[in-house]
Amino acid sequence: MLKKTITLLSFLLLAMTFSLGQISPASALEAGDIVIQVKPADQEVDLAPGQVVKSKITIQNIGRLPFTFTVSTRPYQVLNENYDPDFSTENSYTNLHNWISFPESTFHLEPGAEQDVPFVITVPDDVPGGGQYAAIIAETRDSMSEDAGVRIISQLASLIYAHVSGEEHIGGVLMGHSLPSFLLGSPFTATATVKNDGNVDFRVTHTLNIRDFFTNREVLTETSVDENGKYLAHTNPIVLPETQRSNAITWDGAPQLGVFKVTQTISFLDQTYTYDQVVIFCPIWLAGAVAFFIFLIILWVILRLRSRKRRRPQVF
Amino acid sequence: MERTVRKLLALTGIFIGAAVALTPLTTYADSYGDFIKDKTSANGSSTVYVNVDTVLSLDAANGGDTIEAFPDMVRTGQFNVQVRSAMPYTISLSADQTELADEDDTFFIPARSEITAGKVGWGIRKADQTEGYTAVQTTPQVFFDSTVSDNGTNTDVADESTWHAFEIGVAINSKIPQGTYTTDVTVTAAVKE
Repeated sequence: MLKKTITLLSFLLLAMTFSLGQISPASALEAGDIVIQVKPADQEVDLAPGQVVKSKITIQNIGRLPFTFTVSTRPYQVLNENYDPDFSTENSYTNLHNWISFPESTFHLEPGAEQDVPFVITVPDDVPGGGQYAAIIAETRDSMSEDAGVRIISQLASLIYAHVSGEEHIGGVLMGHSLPSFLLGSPFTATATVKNDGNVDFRVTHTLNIRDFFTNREVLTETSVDENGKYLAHTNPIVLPETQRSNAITWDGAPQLGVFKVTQTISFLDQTYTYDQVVIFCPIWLAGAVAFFIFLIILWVILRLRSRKRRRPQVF
Repeated sequence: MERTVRKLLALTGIFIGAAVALTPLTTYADSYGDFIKDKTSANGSSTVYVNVDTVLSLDAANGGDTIEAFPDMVRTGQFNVQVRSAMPYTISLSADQTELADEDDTFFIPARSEITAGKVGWGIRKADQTEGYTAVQTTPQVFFDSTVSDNGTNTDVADESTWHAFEIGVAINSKIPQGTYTTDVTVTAAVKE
């Protein structure tokens, strides 16, 4: 009897061990299981025709389960003024992805481990100078949950901004800007749109300086940061060749009521534009109340004039 | 009449005065400390330099559950994606096969932007989309942009890293045979310089 029980228990234990071993990590994935990280998320590389340049990205496993990942290259461009990324369109600025090769393209990473992924950029001899843009894609399919209707493939894009020496054309135009003057409760947002006419990218510095109209006290400056060290009134976006980019700075936490002097500065290449504006913040209900108050004053004056006229003695 | 207007005038004046007095007249944004970028230090003191690289991470394994579909009904589900980045970022979605296919690849539920009861289709709702869905395409489309969309935490901090829930809408009719319909969706995260 005892022997039978031990045999049965051993069999059950063996069966359990076997079945646990057969559970695929992808069969019941939870948040934090497969987390892939790349560094750097973007990098700038200087190139010359005929040059061979070596660089690398690093992939880290910061999740709970191991995963296998592959690397590949894609062209990198943008779709619109908002700079939605485009990893499909090829043009004269996206040849870079054809110049990149990987000695090895498939890797396995245990939790907490990291893997350097070296790559080689072989620049052809006859390429013109200017900007070249590509993305290195790190992909893992181990994030595909078998029991999900939509299985997710995880991809991270590490962007490469390359500058090939040679004939560079540098030029940009400020296409437009906006600075509101009267706000009825809507958020305060200043925008700037800059077009790159050249063949190499440049950065735009867009800042706001906000002072109290009555006390001249600085409320927000280009060096103001939040508790995470993020600039509140300073942006520095990149503008790719032959594209137009709009950039917005929103004053988070702006007061509901007040009068402020705002200075917007937009600078790129050797151009600087400065705009000053007095901005009035007034909630819509208060604006309504003031309008009603003015209407009452007018009505009261009319009524008063009429009653005076009525009281005046008639002379025949 | 004149007396009534005078009373109303006084009341409105008091209301406006009280409202102005009670509404915060200034912001407290200036209480944020200025970011000191000057790295120079006095003689004899040591300076600590910490190099922080641009890092981007993606957790998209929380793929959600199977959606139970019924004829002439729009059924919804969701999958969750977390991106962590100190920089603004985008989340793009694409699929090599945009239709949901059964196990034998015989019957399909096509990707559509208009998901209505009785019309066979499926779609995913973008972060700032309030109505309808977006059909997933073979090329990546931006479904979340931290510079324009609310990050879901109601903090108005556009690039704060957080979980993003993408709603899936599915509609079938009675002609769709029983089975499990799936597809592989590629989630691509990228920083926005």
